[in-house]
Amino acid sequence: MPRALVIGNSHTASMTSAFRDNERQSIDIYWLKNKKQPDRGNIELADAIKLIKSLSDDDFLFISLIGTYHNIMGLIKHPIPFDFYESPDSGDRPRQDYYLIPHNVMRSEMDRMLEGSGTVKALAKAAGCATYIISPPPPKGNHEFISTRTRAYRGTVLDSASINDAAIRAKIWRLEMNRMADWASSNSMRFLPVPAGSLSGEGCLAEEYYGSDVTHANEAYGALVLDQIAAIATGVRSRQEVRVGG
Amino acid sequence: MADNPYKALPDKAFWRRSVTDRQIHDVDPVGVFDIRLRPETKVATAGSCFAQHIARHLKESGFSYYVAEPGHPILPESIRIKHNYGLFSARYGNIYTARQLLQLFQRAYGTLVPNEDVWQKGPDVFLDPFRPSSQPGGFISEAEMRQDRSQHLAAVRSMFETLDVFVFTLGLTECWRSIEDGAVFPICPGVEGGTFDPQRHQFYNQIYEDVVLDLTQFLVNLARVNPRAQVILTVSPVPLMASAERGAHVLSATTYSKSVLRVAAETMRNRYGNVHYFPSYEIITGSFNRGSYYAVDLRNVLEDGVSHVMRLFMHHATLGEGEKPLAPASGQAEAQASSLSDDYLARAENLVEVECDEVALDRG
Repeated sequence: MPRALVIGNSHTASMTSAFRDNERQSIDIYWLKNKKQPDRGNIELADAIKLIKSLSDDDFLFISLIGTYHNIMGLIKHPIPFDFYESPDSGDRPRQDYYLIPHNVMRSEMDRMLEGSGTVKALAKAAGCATYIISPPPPKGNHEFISTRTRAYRGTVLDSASINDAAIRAKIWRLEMNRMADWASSNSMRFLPVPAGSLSGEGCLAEEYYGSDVTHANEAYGALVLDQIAAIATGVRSRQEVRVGG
Repeated sequence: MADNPYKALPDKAFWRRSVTDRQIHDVDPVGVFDIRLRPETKVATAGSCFAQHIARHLKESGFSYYVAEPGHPILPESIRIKHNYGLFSARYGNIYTARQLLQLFQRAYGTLVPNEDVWQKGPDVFLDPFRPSSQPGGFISEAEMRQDRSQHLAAVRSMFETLDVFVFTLGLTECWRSIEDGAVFPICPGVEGGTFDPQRHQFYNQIYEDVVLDLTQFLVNLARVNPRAQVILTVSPVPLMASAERGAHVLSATTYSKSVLRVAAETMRNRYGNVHYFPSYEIITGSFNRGSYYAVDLRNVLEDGVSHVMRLFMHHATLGEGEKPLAPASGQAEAQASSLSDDYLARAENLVEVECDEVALDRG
């Protein structure tokens, strides 16, 4: 039975919580320690790489470390608010009263961030098995929730007026996920998109999946991601069984 | 010996004293150049490829290189540079001709609305015909291109209205224009984008009167929105990449073009008190350097030459005030002149890369 190893950041917490209530014995979840927050996480990079190297070719590595730039770039409304065209055929019309950043400029910026993902590359390089990059949860559209739950984000005091438009935040997230998928593919990895049904009508995180803070999802969302992981592992196992049996 | 008018003239008026007897880096062909820049003076730039060097050196000199369209501040400088923000004072790309400059002003203030105002290069690639190289990869839709252009032209208006000094480098007289309304494109349609159509597009080689008239109209317009503005004209020493003049040799066509521009610049300087001329052209093309300021292609200008230009520019424009040493790269030019067998790549290290639409003319 293939193993699934999840190495990630704070977004693994929702999966860990869900895991307690689900008996998915073949999934191991680790929160990678980092120098900025030494009190958080439960595995060092070197140990994570050792674990990854212990995986067999039939196992799976899931990485949940990148894809949060949309929050850094877009959660707080910039003093010069900006917007952009999402795609040639999306029919969206960016706000005319905001600064327009051309799509290809936004795309370059996302790509620049991804190219700096040295830790992810190091983890993936150690793996001989299929490696997936997990999409982080989409942004939360409820401004009241955000402003009441957290008073500050990365040093900026949050109130309703300082939070960026939900539609723009969702757009930035989708662009980042789009670029992550391409980046994963060009680095011989696969992309695990956000679970079906977890989006609201406006393309943000559905409220039933809100975690308690500004950016994280809850245990129910974590369970959806674990289901995705299990489905991938199961699917491959089934194919192997067919192949072996043949 | 009888006295004569030459007796009282300074050394710079005499060829032997100011050219023959000088080391290459000591030649200073600046004539009358009585504009003074201070660190707070807002200096804006536009023009052909060579103007990019001026912009780059101003940025590095500690002077106020004025960028009215710097890109959104949330983007890191590396991304903004990659997308040509800050290459010039606004993201208008290369402006080769006086007509282009005049029409930039007219488009910014709505007095010229060209009919051919979008080029489609691919299914999701749209270009602004008046700055086709400014957005790498183009715009993803016509709507995006138009909105960005509107934002760009607002920045251009802001630049013209608030600059202190406008440095414009005249590059070419040859241009391609719309037969329908005379709108001039920075590059021939069909080269970098758009489709060439002889029924709609026409080659035109400006004559002296055209250049003077265009520059005069531009000055009048500029004075209306910014009466304090000073203008420095230079002529690009970069030869034409190609000439479309019927039967012309590119070398002769270059001589014609640069001669017209040089005379027009002098005419403007003589006529208008707020117009100044700086001899970048003479510093690079002057026989005193024996061609050593050009790269092996005899077209691109080496950093050593650019440094000579900017050292003199900063010296004369600042009278030493705030002047930063832009020391010549010792011996580079001489070494190149005496050793044509040097490795091409080694020489290319000295060649400053500039974004130049014209290069596209010479591809395949």
